Amino acid sequence: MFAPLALVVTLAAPVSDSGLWMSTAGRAGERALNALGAGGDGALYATGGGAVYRLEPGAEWRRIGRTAPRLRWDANGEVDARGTFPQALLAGVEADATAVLDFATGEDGEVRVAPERIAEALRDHVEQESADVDSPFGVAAVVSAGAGAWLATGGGLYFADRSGVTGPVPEISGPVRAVLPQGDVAWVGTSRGIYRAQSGGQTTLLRQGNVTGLAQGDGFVALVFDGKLLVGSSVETASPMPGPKGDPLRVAGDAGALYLSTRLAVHRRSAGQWRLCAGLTGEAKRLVPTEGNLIAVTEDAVWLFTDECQRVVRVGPPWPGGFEFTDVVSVGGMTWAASNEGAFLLGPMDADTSLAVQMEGYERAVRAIPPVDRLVVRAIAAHELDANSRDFGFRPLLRNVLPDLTGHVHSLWARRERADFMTGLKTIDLVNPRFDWQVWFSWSVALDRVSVMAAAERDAALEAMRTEESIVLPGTEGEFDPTAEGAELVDVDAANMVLDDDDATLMVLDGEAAADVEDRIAEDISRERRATIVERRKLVAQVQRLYQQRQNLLYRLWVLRSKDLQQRVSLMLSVAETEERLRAMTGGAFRVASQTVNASSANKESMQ
Amino acid sequence: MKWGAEVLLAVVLALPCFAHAEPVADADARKLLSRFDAEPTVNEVQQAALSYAQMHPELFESLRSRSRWSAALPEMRLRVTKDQANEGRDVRLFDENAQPVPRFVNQSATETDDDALELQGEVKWKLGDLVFNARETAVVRENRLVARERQRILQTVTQTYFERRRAQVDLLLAPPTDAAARTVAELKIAELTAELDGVTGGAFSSMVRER
Repeated sequence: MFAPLALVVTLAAPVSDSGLWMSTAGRAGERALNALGAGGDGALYATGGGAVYRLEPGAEWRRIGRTAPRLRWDANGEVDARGTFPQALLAGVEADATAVLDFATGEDGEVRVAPERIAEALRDHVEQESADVDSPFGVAAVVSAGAGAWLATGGGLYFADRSGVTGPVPEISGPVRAVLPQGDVAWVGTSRGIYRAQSGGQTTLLRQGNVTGLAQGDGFVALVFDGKLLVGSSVETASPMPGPKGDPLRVAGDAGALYLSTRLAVHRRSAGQWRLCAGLTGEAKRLVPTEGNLIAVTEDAVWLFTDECQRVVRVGPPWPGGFEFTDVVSVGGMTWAASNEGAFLLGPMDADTSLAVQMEGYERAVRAIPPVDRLVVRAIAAHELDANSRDFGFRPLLRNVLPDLTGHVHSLWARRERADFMTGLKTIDLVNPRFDWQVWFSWSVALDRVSVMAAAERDAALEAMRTEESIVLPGTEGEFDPTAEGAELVDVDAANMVLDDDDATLMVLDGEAAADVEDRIAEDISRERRATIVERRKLVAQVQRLYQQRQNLLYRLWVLRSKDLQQRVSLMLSVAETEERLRAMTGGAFRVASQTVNASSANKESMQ
Repeated sequence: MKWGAEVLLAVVLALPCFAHAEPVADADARKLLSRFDAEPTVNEVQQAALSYAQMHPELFESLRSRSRWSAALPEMRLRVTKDQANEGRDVRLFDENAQPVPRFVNQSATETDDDALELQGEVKWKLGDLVFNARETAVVRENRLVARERQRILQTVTQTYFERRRAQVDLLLAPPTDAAARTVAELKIAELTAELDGVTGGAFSSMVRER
């Protein structure tokens, strides 16, 4: 079937766009998934973040077990990986997560950041690990077998069925990349080699090398072994075969054809000839053969190849934004896709369904970020306006009642020579050096200063009331609503003239210049409180305004879908800019579960 | 459940009836924006701006506690006094006519040389400063002002970055037909690039060149 020298046909099939993905119900419906596959029991299996989900026909997704431990972070700053997994795997996961959380603790071991930031960091860590097939959280493939499915994970080989998840298979080491069931035997491709697993329990390492793909068709088996394509009648006899230009990445086979993906293309080989199926917009994450047809998955689309690759239909994501496909399966005449936003089912489109899907996308995008009140709290902290950053408590008062501790050392060396000319006598007095020392505490409590400190509290409260009134522009009445039409914030410094920041700073820093330091402290505290209140209100208004602006832009982007390219790009950039401004304003707290708009990878990194 | 390739095929064949279900504009918009993937991200530009302005938050994190713990070091005074004195005393008696009385001339005559060295040392801890240091209010104010300035920088960078990107997109999608309008459009991008360079100390252009 396969001639040694292949003829590569480079004429690709034309691509058309189409399709509508509909969300699915249950636990995997909205969770980030990294693999999806059909089980031998007629159910679907999906994995994501270390969890395994199962979907029976007519039911909802439910979680049935895990292929990677749960991570918990305790108050001592330790990461605890839990689950019934080998100790080495648990220790490795703990070590990786602990390294990620290094930023949270100072050199003294004290936790420096809020617990919710730790939780965010752990979630990010699991999410990133899930995309890595070498990580225990990463799953390279879900392969149908017996009454369930094999799960090829970075932590080993697992088996999932109705009763749950078992594994890893102890005899197989190294991250599992591919599984190929053949009757009673399962061929398992790992980063260390290819294993032959007998149903009786015997497992042997057959060939050493890095296996990244396994496939079979009528009378042939294909492997991607150490970056080369190997084809033969069996795994044992497979030998290198020249392929199309480019490094082979994924391989798939069905009754009459072999499919191979390179970095940006899918090729089909039949009757001794390679044919270019289609150029892709990215690397194919999965190739799924289905009786003469092929489905390929790239981050931004699912590609349906039919008629021996003569016809290609590209199905894009259900809504714009950071939607990324991760896997696909076709079973029972239905095509399912896994993505970073859950599992979806492909169906024919109608206008009503399309609008409903858009609305769902919009609602998810809105839900994907923290509520505005939490953002406000984080923004206040990022601006050093929170109570922890600014509250002195009773310390200024206490300062006045604590004494000064003084240690004093004194020494004198003296010589007095006295000559009496009348008597001719000469006397010399010598004082030999000796160190005398004293230690004393001294209290100097100025009661009037204590009262000044107490008065500062009252002044601050009164001033706050005056300040709140003063930031409403003339003409606006009643409760200040920063989001109201026409409401505008006056520049704090100009409006109240309470912030003579530079002068005050210099005055205190040059403490000597202050006539009375204690009085100055009281004044400074009072002034700082007034400034804090004003700035907080200003900040709250800004965050609310940007938050509202983002919702409006998202609605226009998701639901009122303009077909004009320039308008659409402009909208995408506006959303990205608004999110970026919110993120900067909240010290990175504004994070979208999936990047809303992939505008030049604007939000890829998180700012610490 | 049986693999139903024939049903899948039916769905696939039916799909072109609903061609362009995902607006082509989205794919095209993403493709267009991906042309700028080689340019630095807005986060990278923000970080460069903060580095240039030396306003990374971590630089100011420990300022307050350090100001308080500075009171653990005492105020120290040292004084060294060197004293050298020479004193001569000559006692004479005079009569009522202010004439020296001969028998009492040189009644007493002494000379004294004093030489002294005095050392004094004093260390003083203001225990109250360990609880609350007067400088704390200044540090708190400084932190607030720095945070405000940091925000100004971040917001300026973000706004300029996206304004520049819009100008780039406009130039690609609707390129001016006459030379003058095109020059103006290109100058606008150059102006915004210069602004980004201004706040990043030239790092923006360097990053663009390096990629």
